[in-house]
Amino acid sequence: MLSWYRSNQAIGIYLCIALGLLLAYMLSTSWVFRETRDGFLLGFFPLLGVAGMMLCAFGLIVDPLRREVPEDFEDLAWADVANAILMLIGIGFYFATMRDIGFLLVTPVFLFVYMLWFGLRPLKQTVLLAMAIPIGIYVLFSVIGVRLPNGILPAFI
Amino acid sequence: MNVEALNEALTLVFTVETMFWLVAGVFLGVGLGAIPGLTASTGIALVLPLSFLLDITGMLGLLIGLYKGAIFGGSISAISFAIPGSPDSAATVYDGYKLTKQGKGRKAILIALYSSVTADTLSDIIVILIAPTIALMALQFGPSERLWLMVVAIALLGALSGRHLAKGMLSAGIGLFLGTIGTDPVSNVPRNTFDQVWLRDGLHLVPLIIGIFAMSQMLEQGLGVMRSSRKVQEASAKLGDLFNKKSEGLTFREYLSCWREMGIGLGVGTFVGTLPGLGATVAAFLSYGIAKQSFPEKRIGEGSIHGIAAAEAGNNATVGPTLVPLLAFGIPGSATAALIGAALMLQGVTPSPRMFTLHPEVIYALFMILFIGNFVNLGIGRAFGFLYARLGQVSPKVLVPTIMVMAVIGAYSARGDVYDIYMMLGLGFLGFMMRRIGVPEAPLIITFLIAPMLEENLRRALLINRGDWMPALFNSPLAITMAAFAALVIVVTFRMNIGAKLAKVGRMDNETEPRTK
Repeated sequence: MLSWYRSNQAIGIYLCIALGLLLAYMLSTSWVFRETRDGFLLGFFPLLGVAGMMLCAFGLIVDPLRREVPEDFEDLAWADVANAILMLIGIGFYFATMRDIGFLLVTPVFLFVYMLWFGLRPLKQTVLLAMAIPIGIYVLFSVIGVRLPNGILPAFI
Repeated sequence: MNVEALNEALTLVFTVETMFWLVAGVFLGVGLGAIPGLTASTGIALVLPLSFLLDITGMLGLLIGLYKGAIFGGSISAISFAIPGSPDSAATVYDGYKLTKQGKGRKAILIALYSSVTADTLSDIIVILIAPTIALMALQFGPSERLWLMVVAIALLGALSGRHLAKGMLSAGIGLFLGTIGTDPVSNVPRNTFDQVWLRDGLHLVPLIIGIFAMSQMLEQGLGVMRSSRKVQEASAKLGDLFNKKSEGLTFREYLSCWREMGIGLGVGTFVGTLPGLGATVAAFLSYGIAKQSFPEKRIGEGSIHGIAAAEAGNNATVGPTLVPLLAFGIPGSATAALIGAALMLQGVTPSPRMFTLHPEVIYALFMILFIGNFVNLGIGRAFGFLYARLGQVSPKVLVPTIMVMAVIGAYSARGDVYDIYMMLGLGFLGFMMRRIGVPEAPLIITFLIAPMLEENLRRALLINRGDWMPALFNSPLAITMAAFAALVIVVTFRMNIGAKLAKVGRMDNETEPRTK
């Protein structure tokens, strides 16, 4: 029974609920039924996209492969999803600080934390790589004409 | 032939800058291909923001070089470690790794290189011959024919790009929905923006592509790294043989003895590459399977160079033909073709049959780069192929965070918009979940790209027919035929479960099971 929650049928149901909410939101907005100059409804294509997705989600619920559990979904733990979200939040935080503090100051910290998180050892190697890679990337992008944020670094030099 | 445009293309292509980017693209591509888990799509997604800085031929050199190099590069780790750099090279594992274990890894890599380059070159010649003719035909199409052609492409993509029709079509639906966010293409009125001002310009291509193809892949790899370490130790011992000049190389006679397998690869790869949705993996396995059935005396599957020749000729022969639907109809046939189409659009050139008349110099330049790229691939593969085998040993613990940094820089440098980064991260998560539940990414990106054209053509057809839907949709026998064909594709795929059968082609039972990623 536990694996049913990961089957195509269950995925179809989750998608139908999510898409139903999206459709309800769209129908509650005024722009959907606004007519353009050529007499076409502004919301026709967005609604077509949602309707198409809903049809496919319904297909997942009823088609012959409905009982199948997708190979990569079978072993997906909540911890994996949490780790993926944490990775993304970390990247978002890295970007926000990198813009203000500077690429060369923040990237080594980001790389060190992530390499350590992924299990790179020994520590000395992790530190060295975390220092060397940003310098390499900075030089490469400077050569091809992309300016990376310097942040507060010029104030120190 | 437009001689003036040809001259212009010659002066554009044969410059130090274009040649530099072509060589850089192949160099980078072979390296990316040789690293398990990194595909041509990931590579192109990461270098796409760079295309803003290059002229159009430099950009084409970089992207096409990277594509060609990555398809060949995948065979290096397939042969050296039994871990294909990308699924496209999974069929090469069967014979390639057995040859490595016999101490003939050098011979295996050389036949992979030569068969790849041979089939790629010949398929490019076929593309150069047929693409203009098809484009000429496509120019006769009206809006309703163009509309149905796009629907056929979406149906084929949905049907053939995964093992589950509903998931392929779901991906296309997501692409269509995302493609409508922003401004209406005809009346320029904002719509579907969720009341967010920053969405008025729509989703930008670069963060979308980097998010779906690169970031999602890195999340996947990052989780894999956390769980286990890859087993490459056994093969590492044999890796030294690749660098040993005394180890057995490939003779010209042996290369020529593979002509039948290369011919099969060329035929299958060219045909499969032209069809939207199939791609290099199916081509490689089909060629390999046909060669194995046709020539049992060659003992394909037991460590034979003929098996490698069939598989590698099959996957590389798709490189040029995958651009045919893009150039002839403006509809990308694969994810990589969509990325190349996106790069052209970022340069202000919209891929369509009219491109042959509006930008003939770009078409000639593209053909030249396709052709020259093979010789660059040959040179780089011959000189550095064995060194690239070492790249398979680079730890993903180092690689994944580095690529994450590159993805952030790439998404930000394209427009300097903060929202692009958050969009890229969100789309990265969407791509990650799509992979996990088995929804292919290719239909999403392709439908996203053609969504505005689809809408424009439908609305144009309706305008011509004064708002009457029936004549707008079915105004010619060709439009009716294409509509019927699209319906047939969906019905037949659903009834016969073709997607699952094609997916099985990529999972042929054999003694050495290839491990993708």
